[in-house]
Amino acid sequence: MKKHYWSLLLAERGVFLLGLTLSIITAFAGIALLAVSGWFISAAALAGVTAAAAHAFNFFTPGAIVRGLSIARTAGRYGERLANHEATFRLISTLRRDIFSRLANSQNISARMNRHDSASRMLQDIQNIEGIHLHSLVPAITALFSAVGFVLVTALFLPDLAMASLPLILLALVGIPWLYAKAVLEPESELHLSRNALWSRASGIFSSLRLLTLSQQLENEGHTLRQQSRQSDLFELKALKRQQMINLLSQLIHLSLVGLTLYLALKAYLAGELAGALIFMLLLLSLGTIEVLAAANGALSHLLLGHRALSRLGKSSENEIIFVDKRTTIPEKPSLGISVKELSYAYEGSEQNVFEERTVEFNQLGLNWIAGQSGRGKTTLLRLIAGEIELQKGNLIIEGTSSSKIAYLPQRVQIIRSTLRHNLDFNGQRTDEEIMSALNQVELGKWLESLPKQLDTWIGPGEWEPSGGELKRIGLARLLLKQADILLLDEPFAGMDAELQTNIITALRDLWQHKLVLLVSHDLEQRNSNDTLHSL
Amino acid sequence: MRLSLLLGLIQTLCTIGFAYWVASMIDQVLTQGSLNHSPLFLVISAFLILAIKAVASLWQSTINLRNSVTIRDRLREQILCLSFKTGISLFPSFKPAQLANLLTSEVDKLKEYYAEFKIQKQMAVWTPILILIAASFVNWLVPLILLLTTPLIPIFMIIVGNKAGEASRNNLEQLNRLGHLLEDRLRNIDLLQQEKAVERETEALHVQSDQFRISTMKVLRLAFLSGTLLEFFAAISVALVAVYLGLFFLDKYSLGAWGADISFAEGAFLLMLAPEYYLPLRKMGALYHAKSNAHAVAEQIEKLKETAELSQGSRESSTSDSFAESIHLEALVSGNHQAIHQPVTVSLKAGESLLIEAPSGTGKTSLLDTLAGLRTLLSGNVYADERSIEPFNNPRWQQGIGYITQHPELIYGSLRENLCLGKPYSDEAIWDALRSAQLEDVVEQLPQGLDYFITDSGHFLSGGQTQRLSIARALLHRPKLLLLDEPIANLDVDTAELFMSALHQYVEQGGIIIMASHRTNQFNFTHQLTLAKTEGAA
Repeated sequence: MKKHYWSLLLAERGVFLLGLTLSIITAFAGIALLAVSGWFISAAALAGVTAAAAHAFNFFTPGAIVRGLSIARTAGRYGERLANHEATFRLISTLRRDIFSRLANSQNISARMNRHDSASRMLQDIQNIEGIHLHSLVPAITALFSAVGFVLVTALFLPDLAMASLPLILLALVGIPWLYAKAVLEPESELHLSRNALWSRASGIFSSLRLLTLSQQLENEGHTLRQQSRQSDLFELKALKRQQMINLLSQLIHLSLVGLTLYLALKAYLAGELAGALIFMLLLLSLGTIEVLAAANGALSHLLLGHRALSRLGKSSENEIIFVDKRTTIPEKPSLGISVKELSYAYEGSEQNVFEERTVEFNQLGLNWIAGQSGRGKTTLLRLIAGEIELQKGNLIIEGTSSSKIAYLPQRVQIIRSTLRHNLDFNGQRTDEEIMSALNQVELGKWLESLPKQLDTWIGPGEWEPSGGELKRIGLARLLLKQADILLLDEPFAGMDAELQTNIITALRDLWQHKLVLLVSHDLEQRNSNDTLHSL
Repeated sequence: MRLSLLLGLIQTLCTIGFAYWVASMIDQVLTQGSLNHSPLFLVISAFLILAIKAVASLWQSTINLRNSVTIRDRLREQILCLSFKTGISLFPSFKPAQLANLLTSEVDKLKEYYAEFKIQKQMAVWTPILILIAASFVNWLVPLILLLTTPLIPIFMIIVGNKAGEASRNNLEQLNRLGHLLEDRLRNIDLLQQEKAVERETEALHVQSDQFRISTMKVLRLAFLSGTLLEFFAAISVALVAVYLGLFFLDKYSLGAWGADISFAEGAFLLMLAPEYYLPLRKMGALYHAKSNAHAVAEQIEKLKETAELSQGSRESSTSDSFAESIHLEALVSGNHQAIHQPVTVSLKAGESLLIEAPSGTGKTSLLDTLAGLRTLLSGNVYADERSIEPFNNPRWQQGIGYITQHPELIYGSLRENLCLGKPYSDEAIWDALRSAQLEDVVEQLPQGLDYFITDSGHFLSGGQTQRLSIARALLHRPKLLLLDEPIANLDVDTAELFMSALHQYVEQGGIIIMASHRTNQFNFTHQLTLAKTEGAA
């Protein structure tokens, strides 16, 4: 992942260099502005001492320079902020896509993302990666250039100063950021973890409000939450304390640089080696430079954070899924059928088989109700037929159609945060009429009308959230739109009231006369005499 | 706050002092041609002034940062109190995740507001005043220039600030959505894999991220522009002062001095002070987003307060006794100010059970919540053992109630804690209850038995088993009245069977149950009623 980030950065080097250059120009302009203004004032004052010199003094050129520098600095700052943000955003936009693509192919990612702490950490990691460019590279490189500039300029006028200032500059550029990273990273990440834990606990409390209220436990839980929150605040205070101490140290080092500059300048002046006006210029030069140096204090810490984030993301996206489809399909056969031969399956980590040496044939068209033993066996069977999980022992033969025409409706219907249309037709293959017809068949026609933008309404978390029953029917509509030959439904009507179930099943029974439909359901009331029943 | 302001003023005084130091030093060098003191003395005095300023600044920021931690703690306290007072009436206006967010990340967004913005606002008033006073000792025109240019800054800040605010508001929904898109797609990757839509979605994500980038840059352009304009105006004003001074020194101009002339030292002094005059205003401008963050959170807290008010309803709460043998509902209607359903009248004795049939949306949950004393009663009466009682916010009544919903409610703790809920039950009693709920062998197989910690990552207990824990809990506590809201809707046939048989035991042992459900699994209810909506209810 790290190499990938740097290669992406390189790809964006145009904008990146633009931003960096503008940043350096701005810094220089700012420092120069101070220095030249100082010189200008002194020179003007000197010139003003005699009337003749005053007329001879070229007032306008330095004045123009000052004004020019001022404009350069202001415009430069605007430009560099825009350019640097643009560079970061482009980088992150591409990075997100690549991370997504890698994670999409790695194992167990959904399970991990649905735990709040993992999801939040992943998103925090992406934010930290943003910080590499914006809060580490740019300020650090700018500071470096400014320091070099300082040394070069002072070398021109006062070589002793250039030499003497080097250790201080090194301390400021390297020592302080290192100290900062060492001292502040730990408590800051502890703070972040504790805030996450706080979120989890708070969310748990609010999800169980009834229980807690009735059992009079609400106050206790609230008390514990408050304590946890205060504990978390302690981490913040710890990070704060350390940060301020290092800031103090940093200030002292910077001021020493200023003091050193002043001292050597004054001594040189007294020895006749330095013109008076230049004292002021060097002083302001040092003041301007330390401002730029200060901005780089956190650079190392942000770099480390970003790097850690990159490794974590790299590790998360290992474990590529390798899936082998061992189902046998014989599409040429004239009639639809599913043949299960001595199928055994055990979930990972479980010693017991969910079922053993199961053999069953499904070749009756229309509705095939599957009832019987505990839910896991039935759901597992459907998932195997759907090709969602890999076959282990035994054979699964699908006749009369290809595996792409098998559709599966799981017990829990998921929706993504997107339009209703998108959620019904993920690959954009159906027309609006087809979609609306499917919704009508599952009795969601009126509901569709009631939505603010009908098919273009955004649904999902943070948007219009469908109720449990509506969600089930959305899943059903999605299934219908696949126009598959073999349909596998896992508890499609759970939680629906009887009248609704009857209406939907009656309509679908007609539609599904010539299809092979497997229906797992705990409730067999809707079964009629024409349907087939399998007891597992 | 006082100390913080004082430290701020000290910083300003140091700034003025340093300007004076520089001015007098340059004067010595340029006018006299020699120094009045040794270099060492000069360096140390300069260092001291700057060091005091630095220390004052750090001290001030430390105070304010600590303060912001304390204030945020108080806000969290307030939010918790309000939420607990409102109880389940929080839903559906608020969601658990939303409240958790408010409590943690939203409140944390206020850090800058309390740590920086507030003090900067004060400094933006006092620092310029001090500087004007200092400057007017020397010259009256320069302070005038400074004063006259001041209003320009907030005016432009407001104009651009408004535009930026508008742009960001227009984009807010969009930005919010796009910002959360990655998270959403990652959570649903398995769905996308099944739908064979991963590649398509990856590209779509990229396109949408780009959109996000463009929208955000639009907003940033305006936001940065406001900062730039501030700088620009400040720079122009300083240039004005510089030009004025330059011309004065070159004898082209002689207005504005108190005496006949401005010495060079005085000129340098004024020129060093000028940019410092604008600095606090610029800093405040840069912190404007802190203010809007603060507003956003304050709005949410207001909404919380309103919801709390509404939930209190019109009846007084009380703390009378719970009951032992029978309850009677007379024309009971739940609601805060509006009736949710038609009046309900029924009598139940120990060992009896009521099935409530209700098409969705008729308020069966509200009815159950009202009986549990979690929502207010609009009209009608509840009689326990022939005494009239008021269930709302009535702890003694609530202690005799058990409530089981569709989704198992758990607390952040061990299995034992989840079963006991703070009451001192012996392990023996707990195992008895588990046995009756047929969960004994399940729990025996757990890694730590009764000490097994239930969190959102626990995978050793299935959803169905967790739901059956609720029944075990009821068998342990033996509440007089057990309320159930679609308890077996999400359970498969076998689990539902186990659940209902445990429920049967509970009833046999003298409990009363009121259950709202579509599924009954052939349970024999002694009473049955159908809940009807009020005419005209939403």
